[in-house]
Amino acid sequence: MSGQSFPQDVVAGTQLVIPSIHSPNYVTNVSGWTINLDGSAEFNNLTIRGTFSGTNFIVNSSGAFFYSPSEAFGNLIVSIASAAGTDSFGNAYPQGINVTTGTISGTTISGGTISGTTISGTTFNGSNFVFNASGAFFYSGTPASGNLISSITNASGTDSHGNTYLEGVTSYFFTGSDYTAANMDGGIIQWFRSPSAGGTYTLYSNIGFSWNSINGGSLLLQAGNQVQIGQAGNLVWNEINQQLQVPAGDLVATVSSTPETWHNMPGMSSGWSVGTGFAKYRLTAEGFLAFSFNINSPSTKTDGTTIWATGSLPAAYRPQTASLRWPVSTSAAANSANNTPMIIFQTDGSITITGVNSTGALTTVHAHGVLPLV
Amino acid sequence: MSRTVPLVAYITGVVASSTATVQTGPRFQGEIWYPESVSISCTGTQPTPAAPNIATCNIYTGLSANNVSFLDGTYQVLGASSSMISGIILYPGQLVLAVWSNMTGSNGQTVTMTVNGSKQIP
Repeated sequence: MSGQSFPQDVVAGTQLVIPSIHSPNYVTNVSGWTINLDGSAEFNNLTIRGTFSGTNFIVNSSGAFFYSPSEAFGNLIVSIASAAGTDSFGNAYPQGINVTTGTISGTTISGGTISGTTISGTTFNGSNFVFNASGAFFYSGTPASGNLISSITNASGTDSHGNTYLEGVTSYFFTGSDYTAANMDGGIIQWFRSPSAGGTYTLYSNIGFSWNSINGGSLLLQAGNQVQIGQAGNLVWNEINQQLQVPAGDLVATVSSTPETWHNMPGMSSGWSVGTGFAKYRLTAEGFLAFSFNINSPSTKTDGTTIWATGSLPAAYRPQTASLRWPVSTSAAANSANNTPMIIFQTDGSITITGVNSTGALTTVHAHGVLPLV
Repeated sequence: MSRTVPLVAYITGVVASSTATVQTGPRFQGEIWYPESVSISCTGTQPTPAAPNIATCNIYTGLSANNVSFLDGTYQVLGASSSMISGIILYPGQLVLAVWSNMTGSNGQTVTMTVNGSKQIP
């Protein structure tokens, strides 16, 4: 055979009539390029100056836009744009990645603004926060050791920067020398301290709520040292050893929630003694002086005799303004100019007696009562 | 006494089921063909079958169209010419065949094959 074969034209008219046109070095998925009769093509690099579009997506100089079920107003479901704008169908989109339908998922998701209906993943990193399987962590500045400021977790642990964190909702603060943490977990508000960002937090105080079926709910305030309540720096309530104490200068009595035990009066003076009797005093719940004197060995009966010396009653048990008088019962008739036998509580803590200067035998003096300490 | 005269063999057919086949060759005893070229044509527009099929027209010489008898082929199914047949001598019973394939949308169109050359007749 000899001669010339049919012409090997690539096109018939404007129509490609051969399976493909391709570069000499074309190897599928390796090198070169091809444009195929079936409409497919493969290139190594591609520059598109205008718009690249396909079924339900458009890529142009504004960004990448994906639609469902079709390209129309209200159907923009995903956009990736360098600036906020409106597409050719009237759909507004924000700067960044925006997903309005479906799920964003991945191992690590980080960025400026990520919005969508459902965002799922293992770790979310922001400029100053981290969300991961351990919880949510917020930092002052770039996440690092020492700048954890708050956390929300289901268990205590240590973050990837060496910061110790507590179970629950916690706020952390560096005092300049150590770290404090205000924590709320299981309905209890607690305060902790740690010597370092990665150290162990020690509980110092808490506020809790308790409940029982008989008494109902109770608010519990407790601390390892003291419980204090104050206003504008002024202490108005201080709990030490289960006693309510008011600062000196306002009131002078210590008010206890339980009755004070009786105190014995010290030894008498001017030759007096209780003998076989007794002499006791205490404060009532209202802050009054309760006293019970059964004196069986009196001595000097001159009006104004000091039977208990200065300081015998402590300051909290003395009249505050002026001496206070209290009638007594005696074994002998009084013939003093004062007529009424009485003991006088002095502001210096001493007690004097008057009205018992009788010529008769005075063997017993009784005085029992409750005296307001005005 | 034999003599040599020009050869112009013209045969037409119709595309059916997206295919068409036409054939021609020397028929008389003592007729010998010395073809020099074969031309094909088809009315209508370029077919567009689904990829990877492409409309083709193949030329065969022999007793039937097969891989052994294949001579030449073209995608230019609407019109093309080949001189690959030059040098082949055809005796009575031997054929020149043109087979159109994958002629999607061309059913009913007319195909034509023309063989040019010279022939010896008794």
